[in-house]
Amino acid sequence: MANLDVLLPHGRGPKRVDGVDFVLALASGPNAWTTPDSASTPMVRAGLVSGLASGVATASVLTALILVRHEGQAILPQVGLVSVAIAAVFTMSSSSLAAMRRQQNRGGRRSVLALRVLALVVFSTIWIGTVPPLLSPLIWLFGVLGGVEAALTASLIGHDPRFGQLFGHFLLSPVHLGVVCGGLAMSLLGGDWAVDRMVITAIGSLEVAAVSSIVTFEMFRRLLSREGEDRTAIQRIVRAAESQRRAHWIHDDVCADIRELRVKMAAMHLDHEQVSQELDQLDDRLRERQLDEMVDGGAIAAAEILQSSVRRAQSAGVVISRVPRFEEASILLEAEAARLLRRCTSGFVANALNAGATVLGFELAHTETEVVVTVSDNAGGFDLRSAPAGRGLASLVGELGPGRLISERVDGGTAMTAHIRLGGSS
Amino acid sequence: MTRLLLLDDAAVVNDLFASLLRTELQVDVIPMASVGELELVVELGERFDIAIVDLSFPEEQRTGMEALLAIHASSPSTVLAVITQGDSFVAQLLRDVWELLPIATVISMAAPIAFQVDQVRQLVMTGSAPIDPSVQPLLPAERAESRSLAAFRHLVLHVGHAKLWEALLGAPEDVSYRDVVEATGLRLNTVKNYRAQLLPELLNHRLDDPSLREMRAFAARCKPIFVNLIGEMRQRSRARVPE
Repeated sequence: MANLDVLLPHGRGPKRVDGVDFVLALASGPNAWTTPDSASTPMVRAGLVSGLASGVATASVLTALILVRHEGQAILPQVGLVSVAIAAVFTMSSSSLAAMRRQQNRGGRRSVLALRVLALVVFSTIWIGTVPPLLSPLIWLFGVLGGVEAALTASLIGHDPRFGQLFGHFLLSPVHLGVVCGGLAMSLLGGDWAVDRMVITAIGSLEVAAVSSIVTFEMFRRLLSREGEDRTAIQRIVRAAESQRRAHWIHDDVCADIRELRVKMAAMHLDHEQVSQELDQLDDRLRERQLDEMVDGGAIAAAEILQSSVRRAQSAGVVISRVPRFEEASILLEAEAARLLRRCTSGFVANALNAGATVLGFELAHTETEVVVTVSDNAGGFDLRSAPAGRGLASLVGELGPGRLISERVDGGTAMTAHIRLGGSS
Repeated sequence: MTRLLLLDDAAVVNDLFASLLRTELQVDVIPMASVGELELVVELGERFDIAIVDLSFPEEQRTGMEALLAIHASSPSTVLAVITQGDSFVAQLLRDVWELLPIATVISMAAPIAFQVDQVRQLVMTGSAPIDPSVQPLLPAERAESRSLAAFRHLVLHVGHAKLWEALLGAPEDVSYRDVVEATGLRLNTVKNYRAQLLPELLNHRLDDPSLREMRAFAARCKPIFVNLIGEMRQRSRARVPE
């Protein structure tokens, strides 16, 4: 990597993600740190569900208390609670955050931060004003939500604080010291039960929520870390198996084919032209296998599948009159649609070559639900109904479905069109 | 006599193809197998009428884009062409090169040899040739107007952006925000904000809300362009910092 010393301001060395980063990241919520290719593991999903469940449980407790204390008459706290719920759902929603990330992101995340702070302030006010001191430990449910969010955020940004570290930070934090000192001052100066009640509720709730958050954080962090270790171990096993499979593939397909060619050359005294043909065939076979591997590997671009048929036609000396461009051929296909496209194009090309085509054209179009591929040739007419049952094109008709394979007469030749349904293509 | 550069890391095949072209087309073919060697030769003032360049140089850990940029910078009149396997490993790099440089044609190594020779013949005679049909589906019908070498400047507007791209260039494939923070010395939030600032411009390069991993792959493909821009930014930064 190039030297960073000049770009780094005032020679400051590389840093790690620290506590300030963590607090800022937590304020934006864990969803702000996911990227489009972030993997959602079972543990992460479990965390999100438990976070949501604890949020709902806290809201239910608070609603019940409001209804009991005010006999259903207190509109203000209820409206406040609903607003908090809306703000919480909005700021936790991946889709709204993803939308903000696309547009003006800094402003978007500031809005999220403002909403989260507002929700927290409204929630705290309602809690302190409604909940009796003896019930304030119920806030532990809310603490679970905080702990889960903190663990997910820390995991996403690569911060790894320990239990003791977090506890120390909390005890010495301005928020904690401010609430405790402010509460004590209010209690000493106020001297009436209403003030004392608020102070006890505020301090008690803060302590319980913090301890509950930190304990949840530590438990969840350990679970996430263990899940990460398990995943690494599985990846290692899969990689080893894949390497062995490739070694076997090279031995069976590549080395065996080359040996066959060498034996043929020695035994049959092949001339230059014959060796060249054999090598072309070997090249074709290896490219077909390469395509098999790519189809098995998941999503594959239609262009890659077409390439194989175009090359085959080129090798046969056919002139290619038309091919689709990136805009049409860049569609990614899942394995099933990819296999069908491959079968169609290779079948159409094979038929056209057998019929003596000298010019071939390839077209491709796609909608949300299907890919339409057409291969046209100049090899005279071809009637689909004449295809022998149970073979090639006839079995393709069965796989594509009725009316989805069409042959048409075009100038001096045939245009074969297949409509391939899309399942999970993008 | 037309001077034709043939740059491909498969030296034996390259030499054979060069001798075939000499025989078939009566041109002066200069085969080369390394981007580093080419850069040295170009620096010494060597010029070519046509340059046919492979895209993949895994042993050197470099790409054909670096060679094409060096040739184009030193001699804008040289006709540039790409010769490639045209598979998925180079498809994106091929699109980048196609859109950013005046590439006259793309030759597929998998095409019949006679077809390849014919493409080169057309290049020599007219300065352009049809793209190999098996490679054409990998290329857009029109070059995007928003993509150009000059437009890359919008991706490195200040030192912070330069640090972000430099960190991505040196990061592992599964790059994370932590890697970038560690490499740049920037705050996590700052890194996030820099990435967010670049999103509208990245859209012009066909990257819609890319992950850090996709940004890293893009930076690696267009490394020579980013290295130049980072270097310029470094010089400006050095000029501002007092001794």
